Amino acid sequence: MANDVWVYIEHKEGATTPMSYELLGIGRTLATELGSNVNAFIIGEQIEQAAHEAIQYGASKVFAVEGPLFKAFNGEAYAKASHFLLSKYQPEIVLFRATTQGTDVAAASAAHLGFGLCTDSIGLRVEGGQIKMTRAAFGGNYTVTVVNEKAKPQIATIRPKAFPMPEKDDSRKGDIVKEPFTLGESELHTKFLEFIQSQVTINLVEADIIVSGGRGTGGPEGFKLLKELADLLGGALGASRAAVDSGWVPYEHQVGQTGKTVKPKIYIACGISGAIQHLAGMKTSDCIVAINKDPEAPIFKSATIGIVGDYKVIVPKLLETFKKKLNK
Amino acid sequence: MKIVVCIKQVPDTEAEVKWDIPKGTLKRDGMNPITNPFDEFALEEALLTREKYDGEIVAITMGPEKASDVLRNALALTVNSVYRCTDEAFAGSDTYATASVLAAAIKKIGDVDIVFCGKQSTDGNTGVVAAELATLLGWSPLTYVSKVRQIDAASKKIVVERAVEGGTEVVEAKLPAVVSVIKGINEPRLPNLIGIKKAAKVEIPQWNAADLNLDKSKVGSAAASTKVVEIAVPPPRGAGEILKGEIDEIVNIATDRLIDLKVIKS
Amino acid sequence: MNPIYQNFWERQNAYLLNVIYPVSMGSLLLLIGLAVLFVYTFRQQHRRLWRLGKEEDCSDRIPERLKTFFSVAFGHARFWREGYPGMMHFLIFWGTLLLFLGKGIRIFSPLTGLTAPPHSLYLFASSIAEIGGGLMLIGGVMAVIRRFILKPPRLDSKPDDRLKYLWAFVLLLTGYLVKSYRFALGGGSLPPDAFLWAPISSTLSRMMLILPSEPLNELLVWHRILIHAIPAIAFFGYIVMSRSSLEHIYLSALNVFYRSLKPKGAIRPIPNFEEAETYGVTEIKEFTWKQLLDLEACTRCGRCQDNCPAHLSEKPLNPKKVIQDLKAHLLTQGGTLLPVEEPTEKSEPTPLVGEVISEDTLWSCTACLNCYEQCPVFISGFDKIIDMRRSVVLMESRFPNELKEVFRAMERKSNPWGVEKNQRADWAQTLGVKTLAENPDVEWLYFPGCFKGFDDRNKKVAMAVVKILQRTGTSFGILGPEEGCCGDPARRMGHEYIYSMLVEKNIETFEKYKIKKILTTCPHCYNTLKNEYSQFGGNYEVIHQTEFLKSLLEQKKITLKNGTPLTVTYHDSCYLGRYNQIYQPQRDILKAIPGVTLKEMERSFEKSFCCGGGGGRMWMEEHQGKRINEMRADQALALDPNVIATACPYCLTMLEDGLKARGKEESVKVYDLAELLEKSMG
Repeated sequence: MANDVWVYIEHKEGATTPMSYELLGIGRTLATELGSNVNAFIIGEQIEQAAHEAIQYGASKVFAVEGPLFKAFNGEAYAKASHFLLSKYQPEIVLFRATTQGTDVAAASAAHLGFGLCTDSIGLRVEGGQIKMTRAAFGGNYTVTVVNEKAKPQIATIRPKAFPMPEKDDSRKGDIVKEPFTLGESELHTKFLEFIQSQVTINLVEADIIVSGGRGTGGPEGFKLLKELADLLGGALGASRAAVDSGWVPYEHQVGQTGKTVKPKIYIACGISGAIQHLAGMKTSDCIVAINKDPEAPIFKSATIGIVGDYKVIVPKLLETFKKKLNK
Repeated sequence: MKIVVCIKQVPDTEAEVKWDIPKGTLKRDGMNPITNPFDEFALEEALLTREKYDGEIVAITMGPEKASDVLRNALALTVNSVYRCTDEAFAGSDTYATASVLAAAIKKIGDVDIVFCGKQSTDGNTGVVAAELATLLGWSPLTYVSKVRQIDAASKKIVVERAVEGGTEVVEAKLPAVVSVIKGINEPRLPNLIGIKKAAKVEIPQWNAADLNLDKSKVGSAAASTKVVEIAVPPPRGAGEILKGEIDEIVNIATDRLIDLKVIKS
Repeated sequence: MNPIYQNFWERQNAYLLNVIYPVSMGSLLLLIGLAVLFVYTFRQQHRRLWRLGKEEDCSDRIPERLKTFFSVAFGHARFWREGYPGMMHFLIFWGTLLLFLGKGIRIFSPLTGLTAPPHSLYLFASSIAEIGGGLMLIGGVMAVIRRFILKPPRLDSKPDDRLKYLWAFVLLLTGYLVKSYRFALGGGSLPPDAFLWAPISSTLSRMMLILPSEPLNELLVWHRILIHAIPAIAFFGYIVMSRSSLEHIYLSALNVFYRSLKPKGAIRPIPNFEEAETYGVTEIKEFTWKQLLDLEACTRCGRCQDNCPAHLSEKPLNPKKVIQDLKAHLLTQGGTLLPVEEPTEKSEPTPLVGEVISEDTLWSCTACLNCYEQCPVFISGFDKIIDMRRSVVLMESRFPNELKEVFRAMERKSNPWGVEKNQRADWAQTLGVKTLAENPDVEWLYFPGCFKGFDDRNKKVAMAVVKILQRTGTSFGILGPEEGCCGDPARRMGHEYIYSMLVEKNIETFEKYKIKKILTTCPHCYNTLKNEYSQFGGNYEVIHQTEFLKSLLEQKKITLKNGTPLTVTYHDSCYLGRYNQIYQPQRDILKAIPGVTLKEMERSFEKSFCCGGGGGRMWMEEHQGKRINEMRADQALALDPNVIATACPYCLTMLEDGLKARGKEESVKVYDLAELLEKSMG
């Protein structure tokens, strides 16, 4: 029991996606190495469905706190419930997805318990009984591996998609343990009012993925194609000054010296030659993909991945391939 | 209204950061320390809040002598007062210890209504200090805030929008609250020259562990639960590659590489 | 003498003594009063306002000032750039001068007797007055046709503009009429040479003969007093007191005399920058007295607006309007700003930016200096704009949003794009260029500047220059990563703080390597290194590559091979041309290249049209109006060239963008002169 691996299951007002269970995969790997079990824990209004799915994705047991106050996500309430469960069962390590929800609960739980945590891990392994967690630091310039010697349970947030999805097995069975934990509304400082579905455009400066077009896009039609790719990847649409000047896209999409300065993890530049004014706004992107007809275009010098060719041919192929590979 | 802004000094990560790998520390020479870019949005939000609701702003940081620069920058932007939390015992603090120091400082300031933090720092990239701070203080945690809708000082309430996956959450909270803001919530201003010159002359007040009533064993590396055991340099970036071959093959390679970056969510 | 003519002269003399003399003396008394009035109003209306402004020493180099003064006043030096208005003003100016000369001599003629008719001096004076009046009439008619019939858009007409022409016309006409009445009293027999010394009035007098002589007599007296002498005196009084545009006669003249003799391209430093508590100009009295005189000296001729790229591209900036708005503000606010005995309630000073000059106006300026170049009386719009930019930038940190990252990048990375410093000399690696750290023992420091360091297109220019330098055996080195931004954009965007930091850093590096001679590629670097670094104690021999390449050609160090025929048009960089008067070497280089046919654009040399990238505009959005770079590209495309040549990285970038916008980037290429030269070296 004492060295079990726990995985936090995220949901949005009760709804889960397969991704909610992704950490059960690495959780099981760790548990095997530690000679222990992987358990899930869920906090919500009605968790039955999610608990069963968690078992199907590999959890040995599911611990849960239920109550009407936990219907919508509330960082404060969830953290209190999480703290209650973790201090009661004292698992070895608790894994959260490094999403806004996972990070909030992880951080507050750690603070309740009185120690730090490892965030946004991209590697987890057990060596000599010790869990080693690897994460990127300094804007991705370095990776550091840390161990947590003093804390129990150790808490880690894991970058989504860092580890493979576990297989779902509908025949798996497991226990669901519902813990009595209640909170009065008056004990909470915060109150969820409403959820507004994502607006049409994603905040450009915050986006992890940007698909951007330039003069080489040739017109507003091309931007529809780029928007489609951006939407598929969950990214934002960007544009060079030339494209904005031509009236193909509104100014708020402009990336570059006179537009927005962005630093996404992936920047896909289509038909952008790479003038310094544009580079100034996106040069620190982690991975730059350049698609341009002209093999001499300066953008290729800054690109991580360069593709010489017409974006009108390449982008539809990208759409098709991504859809296939991402099961969309 | 009494507003606190937490600011961190970070190395300019756009510049090449050099590690002394054997020692596991940063090579500080030639590095350009700056205000954590996320904290600039917090500072701006504090200034906007003061403009709208009146009050005073106190900026705090934890760090060595050099970190006074970020407080001077805040002073140049007309915050009312600043404090630097510094003590040899603070060195090597992890997120929890950092939050403890900041919480102690905020308690010492007293009567605080709202604390603004940046979403994360560009060096540590943890993004958890605000939530930890709120938990330690027992105040409303409001993270990833993309908009402060309104603050009602009389009834001590605040309504914010939080940017979460797939949309925006609207949350109402009691004051005092700890608010961490995302990039793009506002357009941070730059200080004017008069402010810069005035700030340059200010003696920055310091608080050490004793001033903050902190047990030295509960902060700094003494308390840090995590320890760095390895530092690795990822393969150098920028050495780009132009993919060659059939289009289908190229697209196949490119999509694989992008998916491997583990950034694209399903 | 023929008795008839003797009779004529006796009558003339009698009338001169009995009528004209008393009238003239009366007028003289009034003129003395007028002079007193002039001195008084000059002090009250003008000098007192200028004194609101800050000190500026404009009394050095008097001989040089006098030289310009005379060449502008009498030679109309800058007026002739435009034929019609130049001729018009020339005729009115010289006509007036001659008229007054003749008139003056004649007023004193009865006193001295010497010049009394029919002495030749009198006749001479009479003829120049009549000719002068005639010139005035021709010039005046030209002016009236232009202002009221042709109506060029740059002229705005106020009631004063109608009144002054009408009034002056009446005075001229009555002058001639009085004289012809007087001649007519002779009963029709004029001396035969009358046409020579009084061509207009002698002719007019023929028409007076139909009048009987007694009424003529009466008329003469009343007419002279009522419709000529009194209106003339009143007219002078009107000029002195009413703020008619005719006050330019003395205000503009003063302005020409007190004009700045500093290099045109140099911006004034902020005095006592370290200790200062205010920066730039926030309210009107923070201008210098000379800048306030500038405002008063403007006659609204509009040459500036006809040459201003911002105005022509339909931006809110019109230099004439800036000056006029500031002038109006000075006149309305000036009085309230003057110190009073007992200060009543202290009103807040009006901030100029936002109240008098809009922010959009302020940031539209490309610092091309065309307004200053075209102004006949040396009024600069740019020096006021930079002072106001300094105020909003340094005092309030208020500027277009997109500049924030630019300022930051300059401060942190010493270039406007925020690229890492250590990449600055990457382009030079393949060419084996040594840095001064590697080999300090060179004659020239080659200072390529940020564009050549970081912009891929412009790196090619730097490479071409280096190849030429290497092939001609020039001893040179670069600073490499130690080179810093020259600071020009920061200064012209009003950020003197960042500018001074950059300059001090560069000077420190120059000192370290004991640099004396600097070769620049970028006209912006060139201008500030040459004309402005001395304000910070940095004095070097600075040369632009065009001059350097020209001298290499002259020394026959460069041999050029036959080239393919190319039609080339050269686009003047503001910072080389108007800032530093370098126009010819570029053309000489182009002409030396085999196969090149040089075609000039309509707007070239002093009138060259800006590319739109100066004054920090390179890093600002162009939301309003047309795009300046596209307009310039169109002007070049009108000549159907193969190549647009430039000598400036800003122009190169802006024009290439302009061509792209027109879809002409394939058929027309933009090259730096150095690239063209290097190519034809084979």
